[in-house]
Amino acid sequence: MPTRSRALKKGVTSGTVNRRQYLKAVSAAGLTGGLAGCFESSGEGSNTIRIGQITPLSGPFVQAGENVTAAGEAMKANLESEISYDIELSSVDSQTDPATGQQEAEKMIQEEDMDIITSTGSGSVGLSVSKVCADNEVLNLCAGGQDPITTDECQAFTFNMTGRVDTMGNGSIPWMAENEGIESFAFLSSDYGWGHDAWAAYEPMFDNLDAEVEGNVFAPFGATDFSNQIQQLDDMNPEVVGITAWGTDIIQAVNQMDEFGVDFTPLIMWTSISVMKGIEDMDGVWASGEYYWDIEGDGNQEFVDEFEGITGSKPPVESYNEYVGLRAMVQKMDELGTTDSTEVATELEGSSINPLKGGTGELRECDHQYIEDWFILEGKATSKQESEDDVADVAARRDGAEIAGECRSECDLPYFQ
Amino acid sequence: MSILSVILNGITYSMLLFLIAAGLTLIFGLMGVVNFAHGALYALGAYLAVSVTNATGSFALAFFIAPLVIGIIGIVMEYFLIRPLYGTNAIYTILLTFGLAIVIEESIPTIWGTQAMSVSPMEFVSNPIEIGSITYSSYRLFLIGVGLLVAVGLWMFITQTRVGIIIRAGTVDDEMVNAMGINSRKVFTGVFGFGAALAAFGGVAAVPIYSAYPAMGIEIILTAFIVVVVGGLGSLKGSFAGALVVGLITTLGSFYASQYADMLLFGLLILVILVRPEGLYGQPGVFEH
Repeated sequence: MPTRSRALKKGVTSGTVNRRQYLKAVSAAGLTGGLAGCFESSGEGSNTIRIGQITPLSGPFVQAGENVTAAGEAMKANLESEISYDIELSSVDSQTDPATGQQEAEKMIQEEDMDIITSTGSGSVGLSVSKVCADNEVLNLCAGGQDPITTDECQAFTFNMTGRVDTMGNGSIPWMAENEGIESFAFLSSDYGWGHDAWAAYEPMFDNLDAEVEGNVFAPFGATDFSNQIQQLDDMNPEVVGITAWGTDIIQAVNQMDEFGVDFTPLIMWTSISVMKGIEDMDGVWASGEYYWDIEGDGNQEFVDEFEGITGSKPPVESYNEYVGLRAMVQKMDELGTTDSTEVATELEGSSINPLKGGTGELRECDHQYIEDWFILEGKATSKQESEDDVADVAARRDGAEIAGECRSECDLPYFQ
Repeated sequence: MSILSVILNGITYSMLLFLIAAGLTLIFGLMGVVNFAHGALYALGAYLAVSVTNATGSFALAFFIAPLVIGIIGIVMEYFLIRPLYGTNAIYTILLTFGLAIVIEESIPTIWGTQAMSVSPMEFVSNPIEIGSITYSSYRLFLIGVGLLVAVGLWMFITQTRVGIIIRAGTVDDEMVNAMGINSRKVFTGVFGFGAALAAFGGVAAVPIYSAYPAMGIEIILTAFIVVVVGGLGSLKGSFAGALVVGLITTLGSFYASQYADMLLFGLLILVILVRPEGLYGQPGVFEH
């Protein structure tokens, strides 16, 4: 195992003593005994795991933020009685702004001595928070991060729960071509970093498929009217149009595709129950993603029940990511009997975790990417839905190990192995 | 893709913008109130449309009920919250309506949740139709028709009715209107309620296309203000022209250069303010009035 004196990773400074290190030293010297009320520290001797959730609690992604907060509560409710630690949760609004995310992360670490910081709902916020966590050597769970979080911006203490764009493409495009006999695809992508990355990942896949890609149309990020893009796509005559967007954008795009009576089949490249419920008619709509509430597995029903008890709704994908990742971190802390970030990260790196839904569950050591199974979903007509959440059937499961994109050379992890 | 499709898309969006901007410009033109809560009323109208449709099974009914309810809310807002600020610095009404916007928009997720909601339009406009070589949404054509009808109706109301004449007179000199024995405060209240109803009407019309979602109010209000500034504050004709200009520029921009769409819009705003600050059909000195 590399010593601590070797060249440190990007963002992890050397030669400085941060507040966390100072507090550990004072604690070890036994001087905090009489001052425990003022200088409560994590690490050895603390029976509380403090988790800070930095998530959009306002703005267009507020729904994702609320779902993530609820996932934290569900994790605490299901796990706290099984472990020897208490769990404290605290959530703040990222405002989907990287500067705000950074500020809140710094505040949470310095003033509230968090053991784990999670960031959700925005790739740029995820990147800024991961750097703060790296500087302060605090465990960081990222969901909804952009690809750099597992490539050139990878950090030693960050673990990314959301699949990369190449996983999104691998998860559905080859399967649709081979199993549904789809011969032509086109794509509708949001006109910002993630959408461009996705298109760049999808296009080369067709070199190895018996299918054609007719093209890609970008829609302004946050667009409400996709009429132009839909008509352009219809002119390309594809059989399937893959949609890389999020939240209300997808809902509006699919509803408007129905409005124009297009001939192609919409395929939501990364889906969630919250998106599918907003679509007027799921009949003829395909979707893919890492999670659907109805999947059987070890612990999924417990998660679904607890989440539904808190929110009244079935959990969407961002909640699943938060729940699974936090659960793995907290369980590891309990197993090791410490909240020390280095010790925990060492054990998490390259470990298998319970994905709740069966199949693969691994925090890959080369980039700290969560590797998991992926699902293809076929939308159900409203008349065939048994409840408002029964929007799709699981058409296929894709092995996480087979569809995960490769580790990129820009990331110089593993750090702890 | 046919240019006709792009233009029709632009006109559809223009009509929606007009429905929202018309109320905004009437309120400003007569009362000098910059109503930042207008977008929130539009959003409230959209959500009410979803509730009415789900409760009654009729989306058409929402076109009547939602504007009526929001119009009443507008009247209450004006009477109790805005009227006490007449005669004070304009910044106070701006701040008040901004605060109201926040309150309303934060209330929406509390009442309806954060999930985006959509409804299907009426049966007779739910299927696409062929226009020459293109297939187009019949609901959007319906929206264009409704927008034109509202524009004509408003023009006739403003120019051919006694109330309309009073409103026009009030936009020029409300003191004289008072001196003529007409209770301008009642006119203000009525116009505010009517403006709110128009915003709600726009919200109802938008739901089958854009869905009802929490951020819809705050997203549209800035564009609505651009329409009003470009067309001319206080001018209904200006709102129509401004809506056409903004709607077409936005749609054509989105089609030909999506990454510059916003830049084009705000570039237009800057140009108008520098070259003709009163807007296309506004009166010079409207801010002083």
